[in-house]
Amino acid sequence: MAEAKQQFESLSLEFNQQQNSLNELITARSQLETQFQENKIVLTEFESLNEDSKIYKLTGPILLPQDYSEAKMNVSKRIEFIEGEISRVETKISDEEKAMEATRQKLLAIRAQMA
Amino acid sequence: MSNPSTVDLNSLEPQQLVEFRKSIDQEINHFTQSLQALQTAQSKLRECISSINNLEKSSSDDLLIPLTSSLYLPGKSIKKNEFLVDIGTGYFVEKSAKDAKQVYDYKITKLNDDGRKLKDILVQKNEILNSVNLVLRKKMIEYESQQEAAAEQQKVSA
Repeated sequence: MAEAKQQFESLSLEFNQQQNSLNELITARSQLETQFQENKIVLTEFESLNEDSKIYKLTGPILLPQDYSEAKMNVSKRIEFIEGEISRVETKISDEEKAMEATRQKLLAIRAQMA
Repeated sequence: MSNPSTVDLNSLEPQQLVEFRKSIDQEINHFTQSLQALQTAQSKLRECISSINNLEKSSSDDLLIPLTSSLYLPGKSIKKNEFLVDIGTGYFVEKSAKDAKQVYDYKITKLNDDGRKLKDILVQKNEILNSVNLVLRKKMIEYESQQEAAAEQQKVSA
């Protein structure tokens, strides 16, 4: 009985930890989404520009002039990178959800034993 | 996590209903905050447009350049038809007054659309919240009458 109780406690601790890391992952996911949307807006803005537009990039406190094609490439690269990050975080989220479900099942089993 | 689309509220336990209500409350808070953020962003964009308009309208080139929020230098604008517009993620583009206003107008309409969507969601969430509250109240009344009935029975048997 005492053993089951101990097991139950360690499992519920694990469950809480999993829940916390899931929450962290979800925050990361929504941050990535914000970045993704912002970059997409910038890219559509670039689409409507042409080679002659003067583009500046804010680097620290100063504005540096930048080439149209270079700036556009940078933003496209960044979007690609963010998409990669999003899918990475999403796999992590689904893994964590599965792990949580497994822990939950174990918890229920032990609780049934204890009752 | 993933609630199936149709769950009969009446079939849920009161505790579950309370939890559900809590999460809806949180969502409503979150969406209200987002809506407010959208509205502040919109008013900032409108300020940008009115600044451009003011500069275009004014006949003199004089202006005061802010060094800090409380320290200004007199200055003169050389060009009145060229603006550097922040298009996001640290990129600035040189634009004419007309194009600059177009950018801001586009952003404002986009924010309007998003705001409308958010409002729709808020209305939906509030409806759900109301029905949850209704079911919860009904459950409470049922529970109380059951308790009373049980008490009555105890009295009779005693």
